[in-house]
Amino acid sequence: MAAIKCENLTKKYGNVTALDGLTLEVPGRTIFGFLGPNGAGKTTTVKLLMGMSRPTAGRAWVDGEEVAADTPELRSHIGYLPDVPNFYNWMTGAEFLRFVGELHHLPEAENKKRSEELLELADLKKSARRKVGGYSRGMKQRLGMAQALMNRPRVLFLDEPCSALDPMGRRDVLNLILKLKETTTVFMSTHILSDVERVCDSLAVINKGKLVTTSTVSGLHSRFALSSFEMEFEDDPAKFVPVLEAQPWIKKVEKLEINHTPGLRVQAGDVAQAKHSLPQLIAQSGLGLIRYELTMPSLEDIFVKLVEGDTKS
Amino acid sequence: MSGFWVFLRKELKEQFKTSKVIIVAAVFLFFGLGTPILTKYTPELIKAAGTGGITIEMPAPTSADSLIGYTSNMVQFGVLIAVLVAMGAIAKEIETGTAAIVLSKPVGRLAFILAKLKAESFTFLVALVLGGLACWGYTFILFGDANALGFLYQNLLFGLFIVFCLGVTLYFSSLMKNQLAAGGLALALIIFLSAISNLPWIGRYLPGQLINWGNRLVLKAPGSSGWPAVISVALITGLSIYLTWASLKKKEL
Repeated sequence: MAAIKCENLTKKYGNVTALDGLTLEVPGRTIFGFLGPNGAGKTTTVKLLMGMSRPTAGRAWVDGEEVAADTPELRSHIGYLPDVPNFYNWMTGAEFLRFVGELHHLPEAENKKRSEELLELADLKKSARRKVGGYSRGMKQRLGMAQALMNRPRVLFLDEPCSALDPMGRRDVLNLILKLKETTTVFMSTHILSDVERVCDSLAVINKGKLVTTSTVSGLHSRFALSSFEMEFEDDPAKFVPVLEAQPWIKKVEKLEINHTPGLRVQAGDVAQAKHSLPQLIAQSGLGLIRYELTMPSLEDIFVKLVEGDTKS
Repeated sequence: MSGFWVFLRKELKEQFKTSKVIIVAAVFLFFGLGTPILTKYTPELIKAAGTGGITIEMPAPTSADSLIGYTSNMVQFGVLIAVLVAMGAIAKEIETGTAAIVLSKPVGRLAFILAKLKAESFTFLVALVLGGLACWGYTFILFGDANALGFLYQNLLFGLFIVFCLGVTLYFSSLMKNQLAAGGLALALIIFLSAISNLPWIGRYLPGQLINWGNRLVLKAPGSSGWPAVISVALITGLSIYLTWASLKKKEL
């Protein structure tokens, strides 16, 4: 059963369509990255899935229950971290977590134990007695993460969980998300591609409110593999270029200079033939080879390609 | 109503931690202590200041003047404070995003609203008790008598009037994005309803009659009962809470 499912989910604000007919299924116990540029409709989607915003059309289910406004039962097993978490400034971090535990109806002893566990996990133990009003943005983000985990949620919605964190904080939060995979389905909206690459099993790309694609991270890489080979030489490979261009299985040859080292990028029409014949041709050319590599596009390249392609179409 | 007691504890704590209880009580105490003195000594102050040969006949002030003077002051300042206290209660929580966090938990939105109304009413209850005791006590000391029962009823009616103001302001706070706009609209409605309270027939059912009835009870003056106003104000307050709930249910958090 899908942990998160939506059918034709649409949200309009007057004439502006923030989300346009999103249909999506997220399998249980996976970390799902919801990628998109700023203003793509990521936060709108998270709010709709949390029942905090009403859809103009379409339906959504989380953990098998249909999402609607004011449904306390559904929320007892989901967690939510908004994009810019804010708290009651007069409360201390420890007080806020205890308050959230009470909202989840946790017994007092369990609430106390869980709060302390989460303060430790969020690296806020030393600041637990300080007022939240004096917390930095990163500390607030970590407190937001802690409060979202208070009820050990089966489904966790994270809206840009790492946007305010420094590299160390980001690493800790991403490690924490990875640990949750055993028990929790994580739906993580973000525009930080390296985070998705690091923790997500599958992802969806959204642009201008429309779903562009869904895939596993590796599936996306192979789908957009450019079949290109990069090589660096000790000498200028100018004389080698016509030799390569004469081969019927080569589509394109480009000259490169990487850190003052001359090189070539060869795009092959027939990758198998290229893998077999290219090393032989290099050997025959007499050029001193420094590096030879079949290159894969980064997720960033794919993302830009997908979003730009979608924008042009 | 899931989560009501948790929200209420939090709201009550907030009233103390943000010093709202102290500030509101201080204002009520100020007028509770100041009004009897002013009432007692105003004629003597005028006499001492000189009237430039003009003879001004002033009736001797009574304890009822002092008690009614206090309520009149509090109707103006108390309403303004009630609006200031409640105008950001929901609008600010939505604006800052705290409402999104707490309402993503297994709690009801009605519990969220009712806890706010009860906690704010508690703040005014503390202020009313302190201000009322100060006023009655000082009036008794200065004038030698004070209608305790009439003043108690007057304060109960004024308390209901304040709860009505809080309820109306909460509704506008749930409706408007900006807390100042919420406060402005609430104040405009309260002033309008109070202003038309002396109209024939409909005036009997409007909030201003609560204060008029309270004054008659202090003066032990004859006049029609204010029960229709009590019932209609209670109903309007209940309606405000229902509308606040309906508005918050539709609200994008």
